[in-house]
Amino acid sequence: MTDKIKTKIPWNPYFNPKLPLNPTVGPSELYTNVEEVKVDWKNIERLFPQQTVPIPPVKETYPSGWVPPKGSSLDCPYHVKRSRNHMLPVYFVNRTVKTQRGGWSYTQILHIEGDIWALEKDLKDYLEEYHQQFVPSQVHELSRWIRFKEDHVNIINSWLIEKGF
Amino acid sequence: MARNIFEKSRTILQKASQLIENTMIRPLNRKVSTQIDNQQASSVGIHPAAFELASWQKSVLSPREAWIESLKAENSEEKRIQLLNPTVFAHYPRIDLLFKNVRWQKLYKHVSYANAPVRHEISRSLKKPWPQKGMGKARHGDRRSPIWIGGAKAHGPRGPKTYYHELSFMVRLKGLSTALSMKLAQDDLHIVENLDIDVDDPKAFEEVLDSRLWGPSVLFVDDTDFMPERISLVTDKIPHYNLMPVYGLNVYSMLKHTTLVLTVDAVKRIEERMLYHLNRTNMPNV
Repeated sequence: MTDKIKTKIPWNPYFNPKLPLNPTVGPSELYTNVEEVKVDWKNIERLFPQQTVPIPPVKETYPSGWVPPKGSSLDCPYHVKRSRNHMLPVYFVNRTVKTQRGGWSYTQILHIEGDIWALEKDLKDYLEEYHQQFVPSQVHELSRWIRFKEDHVNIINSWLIEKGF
Repeated sequence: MARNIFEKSRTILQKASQLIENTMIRPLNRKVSTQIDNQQASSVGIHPAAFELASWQKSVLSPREAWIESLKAENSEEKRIQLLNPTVFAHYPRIDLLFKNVRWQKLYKHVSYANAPVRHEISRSLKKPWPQKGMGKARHGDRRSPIWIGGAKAHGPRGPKTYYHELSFMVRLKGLSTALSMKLAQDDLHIVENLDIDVDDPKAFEEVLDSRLWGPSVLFVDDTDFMPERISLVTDKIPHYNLMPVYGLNVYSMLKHTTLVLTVDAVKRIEERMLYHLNRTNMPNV
């Protein structure tokens, strides 16, 4: 014997467009006559703003300079996921401190999956060789980000694109 | 050479999108594209141009699988598999956010009624206890002051105090995804076709779940808040089996109950909502 569910009304009709918005409850004589007109909403739907950023169509080069991820090598123990705007998650943060100490700035790399310490080692070696100088770094394992002191955004971006992220 | 790579990527994305269709539902008000659904692919992390994934990456970015069971007596029929999105059900465990969510859920309703009267609220006379000079005693104005026994409290708690606060949106989202992924990782998550039972007695139902080792406390989650009759009557008698709609899902309940049972509709709704919020770009005040 199966369970009978008499009326399965959606708790929020916004999320279930298949079910009727106002289901009839009671005798139908009390309701006024309604004529449903079929409308093609295409011309209106195309005016809606897009809620997500779609991936751009596949091309050889893009005029903006955006480079899609080409896939990293099989040996790579880490992965850097792109943001919701399909950009690399490398950000420069410049914090001004209103004291004699002055500000402090760093580049932050987010959305790291896998062996975060291996990525930090690889990046640190590359940056120190590039600048011929010690580069302080910070690894946050729980939140999955890495910070390097001062601005290295473009260097890190090109390095990540080479790696295929 | 470049052309071949892009053609290859298209075929691989076609295969990936077929795999992904089982897991994800498109966000609303979005044009249905005749081509490959790139939004679904991006939410898993597979990009059209990414044609090769390392085995380690495949394990992280590929969907998880779970059997679709039933609450009735087990049949010998073939079981179907439900694919689970890894960003929702295999999220990196943020135990700090779990703690924040649990503390918030307990604390935002809390009102502290502690109140210590100040010296002008104490019910004692304002009479000067003894003259200012000539007694050989310390000088006092009244018996209400904080240094007196039975007097006021100088810097005590003052009146009813609310601990209402709101957690930020991403903290709540990631707390939910962490809780779901931890339940799945620890074998405490079970997916069920629907909440239909073939048993009327609460004790018999308890025996059915005990035989499967489904934990002392079970939380059943469905998409609607109109639950089937039988399970409602049976779980009404049992305090440690609880029914819940998707909009009531919270970290505290997931941790409080040992096992979590989701229907297929609930899984779809949760994934759709979570992926929408993780991928959308119009977040003004959230």
